Amino acid sequence: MYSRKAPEPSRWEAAAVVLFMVAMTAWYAWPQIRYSLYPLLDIWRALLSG
Amino acid sequence: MSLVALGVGLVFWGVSFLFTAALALLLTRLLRTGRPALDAVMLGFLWIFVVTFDLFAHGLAGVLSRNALVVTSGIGLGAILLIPGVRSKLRGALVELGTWWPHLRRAWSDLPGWLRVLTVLAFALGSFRFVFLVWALPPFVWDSLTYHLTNVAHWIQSGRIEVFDAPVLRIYSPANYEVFATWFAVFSHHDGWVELSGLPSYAIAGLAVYATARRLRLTRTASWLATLGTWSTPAFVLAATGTKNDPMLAAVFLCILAVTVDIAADFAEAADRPAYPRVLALILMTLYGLGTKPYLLHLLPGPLVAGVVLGGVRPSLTAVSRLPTRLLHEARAQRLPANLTVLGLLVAALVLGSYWYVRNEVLQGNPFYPYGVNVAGSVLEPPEGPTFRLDLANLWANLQLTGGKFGDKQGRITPDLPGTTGWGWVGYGLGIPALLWAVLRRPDFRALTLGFCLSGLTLLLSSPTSPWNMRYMIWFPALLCLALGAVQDGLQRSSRTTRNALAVLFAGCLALNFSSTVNYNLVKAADLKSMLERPFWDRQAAYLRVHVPLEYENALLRVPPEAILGYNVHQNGFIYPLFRADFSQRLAYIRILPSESCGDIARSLRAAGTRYLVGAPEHTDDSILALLHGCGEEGTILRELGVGLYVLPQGS
Repeated sequence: MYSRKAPEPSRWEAAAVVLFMVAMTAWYAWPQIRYSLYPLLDIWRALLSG
Repeated sequence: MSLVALGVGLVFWGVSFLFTAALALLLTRLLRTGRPALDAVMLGFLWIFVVTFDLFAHGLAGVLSRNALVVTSGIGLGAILLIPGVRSKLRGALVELGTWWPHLRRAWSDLPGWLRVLTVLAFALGSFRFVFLVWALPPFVWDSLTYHLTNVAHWIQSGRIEVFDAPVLRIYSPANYEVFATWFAVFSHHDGWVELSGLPSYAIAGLAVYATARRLRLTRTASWLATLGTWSTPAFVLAATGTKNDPMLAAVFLCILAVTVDIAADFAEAADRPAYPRVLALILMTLYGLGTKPYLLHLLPGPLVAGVVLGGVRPSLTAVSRLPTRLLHEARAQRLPANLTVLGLLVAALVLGSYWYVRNEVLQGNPFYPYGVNVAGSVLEPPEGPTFRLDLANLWANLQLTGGKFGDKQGRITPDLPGTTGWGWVGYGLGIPALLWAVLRRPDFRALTLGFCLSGLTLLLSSPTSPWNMRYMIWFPALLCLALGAVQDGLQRSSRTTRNALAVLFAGCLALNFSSTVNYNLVKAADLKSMLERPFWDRQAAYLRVHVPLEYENALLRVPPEAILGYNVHQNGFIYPLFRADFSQRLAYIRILPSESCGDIARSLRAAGTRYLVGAPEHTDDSILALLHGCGEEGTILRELGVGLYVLPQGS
C-alpha cells in the first residue's frame, strides 16, 4: 500500500475538503470557543484589576 | 535554599547532562538509519534511556544523590574524553551531528513564509507558556500527587529506589517515567523544575511524527504542519507538564510507529538498508515502554499490522522470514566492541523493562500488583486493585464512553480529560476531514489508520471504563495531523484561495489550541497570582487550591519540617504534597481502623515516632475522619491543631 505517487485532487475536490474543514471547525466551535477563550479573558481581567 | 546551593545543584545537573548526552551520542551510532529525522528521534530516545538507566542504577545501589551522580558522571565524562578511541568516536558523532545543519536549513527554506512566521510565534509562545507554568505552579495533577511524584519524593529523600509503607498501592506500578523525572529534582533537591520531565517525550513525539510523515513521502512543509499540529494537541500539551507517564508512553508508541513505517517502506521499495539498528531500536523502545506502563503491550498490534499492510503482506513476510539470517550477518560484520555495547544496551533495556514486574512478583506474588489481569474470564493473578479485562463488553462500554466524548462537547479540556478527548481544534476541525479524504485517496493512509485504530481498540478492550480513559490515547491525534499534512500536499495544484484558506484555518486552530491550554484551563488567575506572590522555593503543591484541600497547607504551616508527620489517607489519597517542595518532611503512614479508640491512635503515633497526624476529606475515609474529629472534640488524648491536623500534647 506504500505508493511513490501522491494523489493530485482536482481544484473542486480540494475546495470541497477545505469547505468540509470550515464546517467541522464551526461544529467544534460550539461550545469549545467559550472554553478556549475563557483563560485569556480571565488573565486579561486579572491584568486590568492589577 | 541558598543561592549557593542552587548554583552548585545547577552545575552538577550540567555535568550529568554532559555525561548522559555524550553517552547517548556515542550510542546513537549503533541506531543510525541514515535518515536525519529518524536519527534525531533515536538520539532523543537514547538520551532519555541513558538518563533513566543512570538514575535507576544509582537508585538500586542506594546512592541516589546529587553528589554520587556528579562523581559518577564526572568519572564517566573523564573516561570518554581521556580514552583516545572513545574520544575520537565522540568527535565523529559530533561531526555527524553537524551534518544535520544543512538538512535543517533546507527544511526551513522550504517552508512557505506564513508557516515560518507561525513556527516562530508557536515556538516563542509555546516555550514561554511551558517555562512560565513550570516556574509559577507546583505539580497539581491528581495521579501525580497520589503516586507518581510520591515515588520520586521518597526515592530522593531516602537516596534509594524502593517500595515503602504507603496506602496508595499504585506506588508499585512500573516506574521508568518516575526514575526519569527524578533527574529533574534530585540536583536541586526541590520540585521546582520537575514538570519539565515530560518535555523530552513531548519533543520526540513530534519528531517521530515528522519522521513518519517524511517516510510517507510528505513534503517538508506538510510534515512540519503535521508536527506542529501534534505539538499543539491540547491533551498532549496539558499532559506534557503534568508529571505523569502518559506523554512518555505516547512518545514511545509514536517512535515505534516511525521505525516500523521506515522498515515497511523499505520492504515495499525492496530497499537494501541495514535492519540491525532499527530492530535494535524497536527492542529498546518496547522494553523501555513496558517498564513505563504495561498497556504498551496493547498498543503494539497497531504498528505491527500497519507495517505489514504498508509494506505489503508478501514482501513483509518474506523479509521477516529472512530477518534472523540478515541480523546475524550484520552483527558479524560489526566489530566486537560494538557488539558488546549492543549486548550491554539490551541487558539495560531488559532490566528497565522487567525490574518492576519481577520485584512485584517477588514481593507480592503478582507481577502486575496491585492490579489483577483477567483475559476472557480467566483470572491470571488474584486481583487486589482493579482488574484489567480483555473482553468485548469492556470494549463496548469504552466505545460508548468515547462516543460521548467525541467533539469535546461536555466541557473544557483539562489535564485529566474528564468528559473530553482533548484532541482540540486542529484535530477535529482540520484533522477529521483530512483523514476521511486521505483514507479515500491514499492507500498508505488506509494502512496507517488501520494501525492507529487497532491500537486504540485493543487499548479500549482492556482499559478501565473511567471518565478519564482518553488520557491513554493522547497519541491518536497524530494520525489526524499526518492526514492534514497529506491534504496540504494534495493542495499544491489547487487555487491560491483554497491554499490560503487552509493556511488561515490552520493558523486559527493552532492559536485556539494554544489559548485553550494557556493555564491548563483549570487554574484561575487569582490562584496563579497567589502562587506568584510566594517565593519560587515556597510554591508548595499543598498551597495550590486546584485539587489539594486546605488540610495539607495547614499541616505544612504548623508541623516543623524536621519532625515526622503522620498521615492517614485512602488508596487514592494525596501523599506527595506532605513531603514539601524540597522533600524535607519525613512522613509516616498511620494505619487506623474505624473500630480503634483515641488511645489506639495515640499508640500508633508514638510507635511511628511522631506527635502529628493529618487527614483530609476526600483523601481520608469518612469513618476515620469522624473518629479523629471525635478525638479532637474530646481533647484529652489528641488535640486538633487547625483544620485536619491532630497532635499529641507535649510529654504525653
